[in-house]
Amino acid sequence: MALVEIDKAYKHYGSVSVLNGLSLNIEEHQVVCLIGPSGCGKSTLLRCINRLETIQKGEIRLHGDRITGPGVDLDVLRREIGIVFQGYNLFPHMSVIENITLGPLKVLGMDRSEARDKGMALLSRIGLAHKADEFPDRLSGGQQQRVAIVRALMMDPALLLLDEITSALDPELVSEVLDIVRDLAAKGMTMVLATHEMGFAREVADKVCFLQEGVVYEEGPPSQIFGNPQGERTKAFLKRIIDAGRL
Amino acid sequence: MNTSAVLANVERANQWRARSKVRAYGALTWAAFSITAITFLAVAATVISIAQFMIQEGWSTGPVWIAGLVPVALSFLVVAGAAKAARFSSKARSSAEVYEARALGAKAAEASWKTISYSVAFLILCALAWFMVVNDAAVSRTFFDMDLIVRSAVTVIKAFGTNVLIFAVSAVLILVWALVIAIARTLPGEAGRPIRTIAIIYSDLFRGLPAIITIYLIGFGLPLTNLPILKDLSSNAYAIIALTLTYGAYTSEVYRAGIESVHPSQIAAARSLGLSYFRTMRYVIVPQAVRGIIPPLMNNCISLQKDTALVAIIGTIDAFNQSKIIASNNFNLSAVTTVAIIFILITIPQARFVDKLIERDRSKRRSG
Ligand SMILES: Nc1ncnc2c1ncn2[C@@H]1O[C@H](COP(=O)(O)OP(=O)(O)OP(=O)(O)O)[C@@H](O)[C@H]1O
Ligand SMILES: [Mg+2]
Repeated sequence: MALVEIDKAYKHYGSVSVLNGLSLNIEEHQVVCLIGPSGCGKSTLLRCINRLETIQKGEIRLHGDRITGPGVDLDVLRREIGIVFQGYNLFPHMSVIENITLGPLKVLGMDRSEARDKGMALLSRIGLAHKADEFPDRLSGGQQQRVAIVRALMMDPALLLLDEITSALDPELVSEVLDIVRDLAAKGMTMVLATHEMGFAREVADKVCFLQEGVVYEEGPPSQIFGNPQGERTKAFLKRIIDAGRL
Repeated sequence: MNTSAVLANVERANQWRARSKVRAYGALTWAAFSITAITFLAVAATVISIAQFMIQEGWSTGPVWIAGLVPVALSFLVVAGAAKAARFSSKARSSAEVYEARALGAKAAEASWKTISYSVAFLILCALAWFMVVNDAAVSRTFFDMDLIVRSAVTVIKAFGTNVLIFAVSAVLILVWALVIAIARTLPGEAGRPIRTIAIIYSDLFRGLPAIITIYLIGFGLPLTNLPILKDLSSNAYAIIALTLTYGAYTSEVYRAGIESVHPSQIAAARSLGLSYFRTMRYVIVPQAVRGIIPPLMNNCISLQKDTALVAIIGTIDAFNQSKIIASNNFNLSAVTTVAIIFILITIPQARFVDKLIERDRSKRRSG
């Protein structure tokens, strides 16, 4: 059984339909990359998986248990599924260490020193232990995004959703963030990435999904999608990417 | 580049040089000089007539004339400033060096505007001074009877303690109560609707109702209701209840504006860590909301201090009521002036403080 099964999900905002019966399985320890043109629904799909948004039809299952529909404890669900946003969304009134320990302290009921130790350990792993008491606006974009990833990891999620985590960063900061993702992938973290970094998707993904008009138009291992795409649309999309020099 | 294009560029450069000439601001400096001269005469005339009046009233001659000399001397300085501006202007006109001439012209303009604005200020002060002394100094006698002000000061300041008490207790209650209302107003979803609606009705109602009417209705109404406890509170307590209800409505709007100014992505980030709605509010949204709303909260606080004087209507012996009693015993309003002075002395520093906070906030945003 897959960790997450998305079964014919539909989502529309008013008259704009974004997901059109999209189905997708995410296996344990798998890194799934979502690619596709801007506006094709990558962010929406991620936000539906952790229920920041609600699908109108179809269902999504976590560990085989349905998490769409009424009566799901969202606060518990979100401990299982962490998300990191494009805009980091750190809490500006809290220091780095306060940002990353808020969840463990208030949601998991961890005690203060234990949370701090765990936080410091993760910060050292990403080389930011010396910034623990800084406030987010004193950090570079890349550092903020790394802290945001640590904040999600502090909850020990079973699945981590990463929504274009490098697209707000200057090119020279991108690699420091991607290094962490690579590291997590090596440690077996299950992740879904929405990304425009095709080179990285090709390197790190176990499965690449090309989204088009609210469905997974083509999915497969990176060697297939990037090397030998089957669908016409996939080919056209990749040609545009290659012409733009992004692969 | 072909010849016609080169010629066009030369033409363009010539046009620019022709247009950007030196400005000497001759007319402006003349206007400034005339205005300051007229002001000087007006100030002198005002000082002479007021001084004569005061001497007539029995003030001693020496000090009155010496005090009168000060404004006259100051307005003469302004005239001197205008003369200096005129000198800059004429130098600018005769200077052969373009950049130097421009600098002189700019100096002339700035000095002229400065003297004009000082003159306007002087003229306003003159008008006020005339207002005080016309009609045999009726205005100063009515409002500024120094003797009565000094005599009433102690009694009035004691009564001001009541205002301070009412203010202090209601301020604390308002801060808490308004936050409750603000959170009620921002409750999400279908489940929150009834409470949201009630909160909206409450705040519309009490923002629409003049504070003086709320105080009147509560101060005189509750005792008539025969409700246990509520019917026999002190008039101070009624005043506190009424002010809390009124200002709670206003202040909740301030809080709400603060809450809504926090970007929704902060809610998404907090909720996706598994924080419940109320914890998100408590740890993430409200702390950020509070930062931006300190100036408007302080403004409300100043306004609350002033409105404690409204409780006079239900018979509370606050500073205003006390001074009214003294005023009617003496057939002179100067005791009320005492209260006015107290309120002004207390609120002006706070108003300055708020302005400073806002300024500091703005410069922080500019630099950051
Ligand atoms: N809250 C919303 N209300 C209305 N329409 C929305 C909303 N959120 C997203 N949409 C629409 O849904 C579509 C998909 O948006 P989404 O953000 O999922 O795209 P995306 O694939 O993440 O694009 P990008 O690569 O630019 O981030 C877009 O057409 C967008 O306009
Ligand atoms: Mg997106």
